[in-house]
Amino acid sequence: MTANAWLQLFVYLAVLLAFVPLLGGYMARVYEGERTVLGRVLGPIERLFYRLAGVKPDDEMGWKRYAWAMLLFNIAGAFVVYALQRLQHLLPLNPQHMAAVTPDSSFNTAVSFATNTNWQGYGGESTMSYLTQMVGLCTQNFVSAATGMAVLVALIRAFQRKSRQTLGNFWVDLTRTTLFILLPLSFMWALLLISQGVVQTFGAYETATLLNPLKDDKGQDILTQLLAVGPAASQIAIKQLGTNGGGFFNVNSAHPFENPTTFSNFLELLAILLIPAALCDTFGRMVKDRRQGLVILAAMTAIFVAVTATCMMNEHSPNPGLAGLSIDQSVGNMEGKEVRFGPTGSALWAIATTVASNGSVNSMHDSFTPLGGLWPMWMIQLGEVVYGGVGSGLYGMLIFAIVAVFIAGLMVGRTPEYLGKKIEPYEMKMASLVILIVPALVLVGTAVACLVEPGYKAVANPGTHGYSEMLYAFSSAANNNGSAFAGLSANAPFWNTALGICMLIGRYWLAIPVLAMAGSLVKKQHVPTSPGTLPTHTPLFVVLLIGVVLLVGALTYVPALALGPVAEHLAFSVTP
Amino acid sequence: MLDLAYLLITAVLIVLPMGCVALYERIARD
Repeated sequence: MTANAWLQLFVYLAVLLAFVPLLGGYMARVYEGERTVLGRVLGPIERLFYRLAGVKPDDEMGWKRYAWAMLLFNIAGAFVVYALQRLQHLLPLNPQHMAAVTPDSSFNTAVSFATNTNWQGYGGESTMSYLTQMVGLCTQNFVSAATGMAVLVALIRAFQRKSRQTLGNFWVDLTRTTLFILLPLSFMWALLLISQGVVQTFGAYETATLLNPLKDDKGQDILTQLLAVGPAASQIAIKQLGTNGGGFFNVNSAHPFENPTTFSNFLELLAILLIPAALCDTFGRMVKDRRQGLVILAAMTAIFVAVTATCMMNEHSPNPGLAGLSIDQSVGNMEGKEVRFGPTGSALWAIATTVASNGSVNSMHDSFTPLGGLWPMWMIQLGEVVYGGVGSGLYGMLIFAIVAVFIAGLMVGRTPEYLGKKIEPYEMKMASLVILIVPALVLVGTAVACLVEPGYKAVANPGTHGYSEMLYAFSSAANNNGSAFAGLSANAPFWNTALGICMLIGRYWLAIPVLAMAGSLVKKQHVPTSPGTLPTHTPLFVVLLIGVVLLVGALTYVPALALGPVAEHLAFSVTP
Repeated sequence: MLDLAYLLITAVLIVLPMGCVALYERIARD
């Protein structure tokens, strides 16, 4: 790894962590209902929304009511996106006259955006009307992110409150997240991206005259090129901030209209981890012990740095598949990478986007070296808890913290308690569900895809690499990441349906046990700290937490990874 | 028909975990 690579990683982390207390404190004030700098402007709008929707902000909800509100809101969102795609040829804002999207692709995309996954089996510029992109997909980018943050806030309140029945009001949490956090940040980020040249227009696609005309396969001159444009900047801002990841264009942030400059690349990269990292501080402030948030942030950052450095090292090595082809590989593996980003910028983005359930890409993960591609895939498989998705990442990590406390309790004979709440069998059962459901989806899904013809026929590279592509697809869908290893013709009924089902289960079958656990915890009294209490604000707990996350991830996925990237790496070692 | 099937799958898979937890709580209580 070069000095330049270390410097890029250091600068990125320094800027990211500098924003954590600022944004973390602001979000804590938003969720505690305290006065904020934007309150004077946005407060009246918030109250107007409540009046129009008939929401009583003081009407506190128990976990079941909170969960039902969340689920019904998400069903409605998925149905609207589905309908928009199926009817887009009849609706306005369709200057390119895009046809209706097929039922299986509409299902996949609707579910994908409602669950904050943003897996894209389609090419945005060749499939979706502007109306579908803006009203359907962009709106879901906001509300799916806000849904994850609302579930997290409900869980934090469960630790914060004593002997209560309620967790807050879902509609208030959803509205305040969208209005006070996501919208202002997205507006600011969109303006910054536009300043860098990211397109934002309602105009039709542009025709450009080629400086160097080409010939088609019939020998005819090609003099012009159709350039896809559209209202991209506004969607890209929230796609990164909300850890959604769905690109306006097919090649996502490798497209020069989505990511034109070094500064736009840095801005988008920063946006990916900004809210998930800052939420750790929000958590610490809300439970009135900021050290608790810092411990979680330290565990996440330690894993992130170690894995990013390793992935950079792998990508700075030459691609063994290109050995002997007279290709200069002195800078490392450049296949599938933008020259302007290189191995460092590509590997840094690849890890940031996969730890964060974001899924946007600025290089093609399929073209990474076998071991370089293993790291992004494993980061997804850890459960998107290293920073993770907005809200979902931290509630996933808190589940691991509960498991860590439980394991430590078993080892040393201490009563398992976390933040003053006793961890009992009900909480452990819910935590086990959260940890076990997704691996089951990934491993069973991949096995089925390997066995049935519509599954394995979609693979362009049979063998270990093709298997990795399938494993990555199921990992990405079930963990709500959304990035693709590529090389897989996934816009087909089997893949659209199978991955859609995985996304639904991976999102809601985890959120419900988390809310059920919150409902149980909020009823409990705080247990006073005693010599038998395991301190959870110490470096020792950071190590324990990292150990639990990595061990669960390794025990679950190493056999599957051995058949894919590891076997591919070993095959290259034997026969370069 | 296919549209209805996909919408049904979506709705069922979203609400199913609520039913499962409610059922579990009832079994645990009994």
